Amino acid sequence: MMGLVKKDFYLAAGLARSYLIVAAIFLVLSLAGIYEFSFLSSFMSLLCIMLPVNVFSYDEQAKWDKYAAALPGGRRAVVQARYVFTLIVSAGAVVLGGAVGAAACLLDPTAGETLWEMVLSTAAGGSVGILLNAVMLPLMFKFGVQKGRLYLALVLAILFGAFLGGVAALASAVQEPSVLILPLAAIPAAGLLALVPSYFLSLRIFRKKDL
Amino acid sequence: MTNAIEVKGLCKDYGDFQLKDVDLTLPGGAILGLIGENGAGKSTTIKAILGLIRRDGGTVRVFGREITGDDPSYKEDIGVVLDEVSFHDPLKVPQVGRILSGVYRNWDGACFDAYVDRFQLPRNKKIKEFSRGMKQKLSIATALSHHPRLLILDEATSGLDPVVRDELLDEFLAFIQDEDHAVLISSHITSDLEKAADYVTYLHRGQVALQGAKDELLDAYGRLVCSRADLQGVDPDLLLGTRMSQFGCEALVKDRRAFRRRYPALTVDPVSLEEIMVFTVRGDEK
Repeated sequence: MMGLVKKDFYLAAGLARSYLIVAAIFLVLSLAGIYEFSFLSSFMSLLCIMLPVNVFSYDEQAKWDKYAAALPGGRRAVVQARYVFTLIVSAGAVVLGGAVGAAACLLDPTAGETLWEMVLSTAAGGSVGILLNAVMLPLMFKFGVQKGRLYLALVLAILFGAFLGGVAALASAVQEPSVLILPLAAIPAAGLLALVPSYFLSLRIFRKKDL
Repeated sequence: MTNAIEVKGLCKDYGDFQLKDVDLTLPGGAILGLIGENGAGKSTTIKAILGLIRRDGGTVRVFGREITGDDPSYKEDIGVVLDEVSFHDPLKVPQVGRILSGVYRNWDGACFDAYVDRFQLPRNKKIKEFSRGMKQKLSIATALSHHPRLLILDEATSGLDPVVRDELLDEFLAFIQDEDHAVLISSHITSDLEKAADYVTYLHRGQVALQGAKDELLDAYGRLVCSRADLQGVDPDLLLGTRMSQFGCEALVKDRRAFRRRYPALTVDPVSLEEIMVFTVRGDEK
């Protein structure tokens, strides 16, 4: 299975340059004061979470699933590998986004965003990303990239709406933003938990699929 | 000795295409050629053996072990090359080796490197720059580098030039020198199988139309060339398919020797696998 995870990282590495360029543009825009740094950290999380979709796309192009399922790990290894890759990428994105945000806060304390706000925005980005992956991965296994993307757009709109609405409601309900840490920190945990049924659903879908 | 592959009563229904009661046996130390026109069911049969599709009926045994969807570990012993499947365009050969070293327990990096050298595959180029022949050679190198006992090759030689095809067929012949090894190869290039295969299974419209030891089949079958009047005098039970033109008739004879004894005045020539295939299809159309 680890060979398949390695394969995903090799493919992702090929995309890294494009991602870094986009991230650098947002960094410059944030440094110029056009965007807040918290936006950058959330954006990075979401950007990196798009990697699994790209890897699915590469696999589809190479008709890889058929070959991968014929390897000794079988279909289970294919699904496992994609979840492990997604988890590592998501964790990496959150850590990286958080580090950039925290560095920005420490370097420029007058920027107007506190470290807490930065932590919250990074956690928010990570939460959306992990939840999104929990929904997206079974869709990709079921429908493939072309159709899966359409469903993903729908899910994305619903999740964002619900998430932003929830944050706004919470923010207006409490005076002190630091009170929000606990409920917001619970969301990544919920996302991680959502990955468990998501994994079993993907496995069920992929096992039934004629390749 | 245990057979490398035993397929019995294999059925798969796709709605517009059905694989019906396919039986197939591949003994150790042999190459079995799966032939048939496009869409005859060759790839479906191979997919069923590899557990890539759900069977609607029948059993599959690999090295005596019944294959179910639950345990894919039997694939450690199988080297696979699948039709239209290649490694991803952005990858390079050493990366492919590292990926598969994390997949197969018996992956042999030195063996893989030796094949890469032998097939003259460039290590520093991305796969998207490879020709089809190079991609096929890479697939075959990966299929052989974990010391499999069974090779399953779906159209592994199609689209390749005769020199590369010949080189690969020699590789498969060398592989079965060990009697514990076997090769199942599907192809619609029957001349390749005439060179390499010990056994042939001919699939036509999802069913086994013909199977047996290749030499026996080529020895038994024959091509009758005669006039229309001569053909009318021949017992139709002795023929499998006929082709008629304004210049005369041709027919596939099931038992060349028996036919000659019964009709000594008629000419029956040796036949190739391709001719057997064409006669069967054309006969069926009529």
